[in-house]
Amino acid sequence: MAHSMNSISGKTEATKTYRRDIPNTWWLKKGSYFLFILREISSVFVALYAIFLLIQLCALSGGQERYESTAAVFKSGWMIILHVVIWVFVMYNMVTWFRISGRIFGAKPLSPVLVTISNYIIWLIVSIGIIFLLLKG
Amino acid sequence: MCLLKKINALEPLWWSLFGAGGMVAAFLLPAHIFIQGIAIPLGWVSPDMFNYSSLIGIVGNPIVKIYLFFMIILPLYHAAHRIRLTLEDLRIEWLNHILPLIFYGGATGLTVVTLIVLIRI
Repeated sequence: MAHSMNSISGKTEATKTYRRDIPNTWWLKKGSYFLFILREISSVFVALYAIFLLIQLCALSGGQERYESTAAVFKSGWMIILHVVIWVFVMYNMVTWFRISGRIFGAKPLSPVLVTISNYIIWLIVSIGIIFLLLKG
Repeated sequence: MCLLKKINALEPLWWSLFGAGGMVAAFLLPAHIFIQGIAIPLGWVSPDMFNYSSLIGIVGNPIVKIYLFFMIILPLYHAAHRIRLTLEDLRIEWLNHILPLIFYGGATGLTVVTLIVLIRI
């Protein structure tokens, strides 16, 4: 609520701020709005995976029995489906992140596309490294 | 409301943690989720490492602990910052004042938990 001085009476008088009514479905109106909301939601899944890692580490510190019962939960069908959903959102988060990196760091003599592509190349090398370490380490 | 002021004064820190978390979430998480959350449970691969006695040995390594610490806490700050800014756009005034406390406080709380869990392993 904004206040304005009434020049004639000198009294302070409440005036109403004009607020355009934005429907709750604004993010369905345009493709780019929808992708924006998807990007914001993707961070929820990023956090969820970090919490899952923490839960698994917690179980590991609680001894063999507790670790194995927790590991069994993470092997159940609905947990695998949830991880596929998490993975899709985290991949989307990655795509948007590399696109933003291009815009931020892509000043001359570089270009946004060049920065984004080099991000993907580094991502590929890092991912292969992680997978190699997890499978053979 | 002194605490809230202090949290707001740390805005550059929250932005930095958001950026660092974005890097970790983009570069490290996809491969980990794919192998640990999908490929292993489905039985596509069965690495020797993922049983209790091997894991205890691997996670006991200080370098692995540091890696896991940042792999957990930075994505949490990344998500906390982004969700806070999105919820702020809903313009619920009483909620907006406490959003930083809820999200940065939550991420910091989980950071402490992560630290304790990793030290205990």
